[in-house]
This record gives sequence, C-alpha cells and structure tokens, in this order.
Amino acid sequence: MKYLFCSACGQSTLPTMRICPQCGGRDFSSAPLANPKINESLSNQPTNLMSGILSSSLNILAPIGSPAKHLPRLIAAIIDSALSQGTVYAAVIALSLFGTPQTPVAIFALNLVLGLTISTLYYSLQHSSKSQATLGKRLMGLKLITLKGERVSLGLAVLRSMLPSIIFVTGTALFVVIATPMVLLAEGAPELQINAVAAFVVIYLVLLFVPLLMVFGNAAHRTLYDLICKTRVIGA
Amino acid sequence: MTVDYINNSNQRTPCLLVLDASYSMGTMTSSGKTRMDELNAGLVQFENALKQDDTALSRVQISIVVVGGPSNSAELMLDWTDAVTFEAFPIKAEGQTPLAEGLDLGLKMIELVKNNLKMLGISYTRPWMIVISDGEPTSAQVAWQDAIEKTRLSEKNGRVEIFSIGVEGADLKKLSEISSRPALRLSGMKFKELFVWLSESLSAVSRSRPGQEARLPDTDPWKNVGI
Repeated sequence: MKYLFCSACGQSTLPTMRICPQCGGRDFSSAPLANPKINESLSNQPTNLMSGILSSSLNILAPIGSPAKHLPRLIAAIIDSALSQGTVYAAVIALSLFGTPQTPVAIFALNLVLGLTISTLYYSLQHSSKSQATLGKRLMGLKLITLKGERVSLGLAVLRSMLPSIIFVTGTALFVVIATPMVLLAEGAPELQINAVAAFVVIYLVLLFVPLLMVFGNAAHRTLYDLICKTRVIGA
Repeated sequence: MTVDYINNSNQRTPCLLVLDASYSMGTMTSSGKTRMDELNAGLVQFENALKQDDTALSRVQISIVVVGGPSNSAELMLDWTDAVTFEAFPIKAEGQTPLAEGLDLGLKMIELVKNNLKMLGISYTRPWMIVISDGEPTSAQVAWQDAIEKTRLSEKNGRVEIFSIGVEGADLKKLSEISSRPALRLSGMKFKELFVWLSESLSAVSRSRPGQEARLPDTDPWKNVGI
C-alpha cells in the first residue's frame, strides 16, 4: 500500500483520504515530513495507519494489512522453489556417495521422500517462525498470517506445505487407477492411448497450476492452499 | 475516487459512514477511554472483520464523511475505497455537529458512486448510509428539515438504506427523523460489536443479488432497544 502524508502534520493516510483525520489539512505529499508536528506514534506508520496506536491502548487486534501483490509473490515462489529443490538435489547427490539405488522405482521413491520431507521442512519451519516467512517471502517483504492476523502454528504450516503434494499425488494416483486400465484395454487403438496420455498431461497441469492461479480469483489473493488452511499472504 | 474496477469488476455494495467527530466524542467514558477512542477501535475491528471475509473484501466499498472533527465542518474524509485497500485511521474529536450538512454530503457521495458504477456497467446493491452520533445536531433547523426530507425521500425511493445509531447522550428522537427506520442506541460503548455487525451485514448484502432481500445478523449484541 502506498501512503500519502499530510503536508501540515505528517499523518500518514490512504491515497483516497481527502482531509487529514488529525489536523484537517488538505494537502498531501508522497514523502513523509522531516519533522512531523504530531505525536510520533500517530504518524509515519509504514504498513498500517493504526498500528501501535490502538492495539496497545485498547487491547484489540492490530490491523491485518494488504494482500501481497502478484509479482513479488511469484518471485518469492521462484526463489523458494529453487532453494528447496536445490536442497533436494544436493541431498540426492550426497546420498549417492553412499550408494546409488539400482532400480528406477527406488530412485523415484528416494526423490519423492526427500522432496516431500525437505520442502515440508523448508516451508513449515519458516512460515511458523518468528519472521512468518520463507526466505523468498522475506526478500520480497511478504509474510504468511492466519485470517485473524496471527502467526500460523507449526501444525498448520506443515499442513499448508504438504497440501500441494497431497492434492497432486492423490489426483495423479486416482487418474492412474482410472486411466491405466483404459490404456491397457485400448491396446491396438493408438488414438485412444494418445488421448489418455493427453488427458493425463492436462490433469497434471491443472493440479499443478490451478490452485496457484486462484490468487487471481479473489480480492485477498489467496491460493487454494490459503483457502483450505484459512491463511493469507500479506505485505509485511 | 480510487477503486480497482479493472481487476475487480465484481458487484459492489457501497457503504458510507457519517461519523460524528465533534468535541463531545472526546468525552471520557467510565472505561477511561474517550468515545472517539472507542469509535477508532471500532473502525479497526471493521477493517479486520472485512479482511476476514473474501466476498466482502472484493465487493464492499467504503467512504467516510466526518461531521465536526479537525475541520469543524461536514467533510468528505475518505473517498470511495474498496474494502481490500481500506485501512482504519485515527480520527480526532473536535468542533460542533453539523449533521444536516453531513447527511447532505453523504447522499451526494452515494449518488456519485452509483453513477460511476452505472457508467462502468458494474452492478451494485442498494448503498448503505450509517450515521453515528452522540449528541444533538448543531445545524440550523431549516438545514436539518431539508436534510431529513432528502434522506427520507431517498430511502423511500429505494436509493439508499439508512441506519442511525446514537451513542450515549444522543438525541435519539432527532436521529430517528433521518430515516423511516428508528434510530438505535448503542449500549455502553460497544463500537467494536457494532462494526462487527456492520461487516457481517455488508457481507450478507454483498452476497445477494441487486433487488434481493438479505437476512441481516441480529443487532442484539450491540444495541439496547429500537424506538
């Protein structure tokens, strides 16, 4: 959120403010005053106009903050994916020093277990930490909160970080259970087999991207995982 | 007016608050806080409640007209703002209570947002005007008569829904003249409960289609009696 500042008293305001709620001033500037005339606690709040004023004196919830913008969130996601996947590959290489799995199934299982474990630890430990953000989110000035504005618990953070894998694995498994017999039965009918494979690819992409693309479908920019876990990502 | 109609073309539910920020709102209550402190806390609660509701967040629009306050007049303090970008701000209590002028300005703001929404082809539910005051209006009698005629006519013609709420010490009889709906007294200083009710009500209205009736939450948590 970009704030304006009252030219007379320095009070930070929303861009749609027409008169200053503190001094009645009508001129606003995009830069804060060097020496604001009002109490420091009332001015220059970088994220929320009320933070620090009412929460301390009236024992109420602090304001929650604005939804994270799409671009910083995308960049944060790319950074986090690169870091967590990089760690997975590093772990695979490190384990291979002690002996490489021999069968494709064993290699797949090793990658799956390592990927799930490392990404769950990466996201859940950081989201439930004091910073409430992964490294990518911290770099982009974002954090994860509950709908009440509180820090997410470790349990909720674990659930949220596992949801993409749960949804993806369950969806894929269901498709395989349904599609494999069809592909086998369609032996000798290559067109049918190609259609089944194409359907698999579409479902793969849907499971991968639709939960994330849901950020464009609501004003709070929440993914499917946020909606299920009752969380949201905001500008810190 | 800064609202995001490009990325958000959802149906809108405009809600205009006419807030009494006169000197008397600075009166200390038994809790050791002023009425204005409590109202400011209620606004924070309003923001938080809206932000916990995805539908309300994308559909409710807020504007605030302040009566009295630092400029000691009826002024548009906050132009129409989508709930998603709304943040509560502290208002200072000063001056008199030119409520008639505040009502007049409120009706103009409502017509303005409706015209804008119509022009952009965005549907909307009937706008709400919430009037909160703790005292007797200081407007001239002629101005008051003119204002209440306009508010009642607007309400009768289905152009706006008006809710008048009297804080302790308010002249409820006078406030009841604003609308066909009797003014309600806020029991104690339950601003937070009032604004949670308002948020829940706006959420219910924003879910309905224009012209439909919406079932509102009970007002019992925050009011005493209807008159």
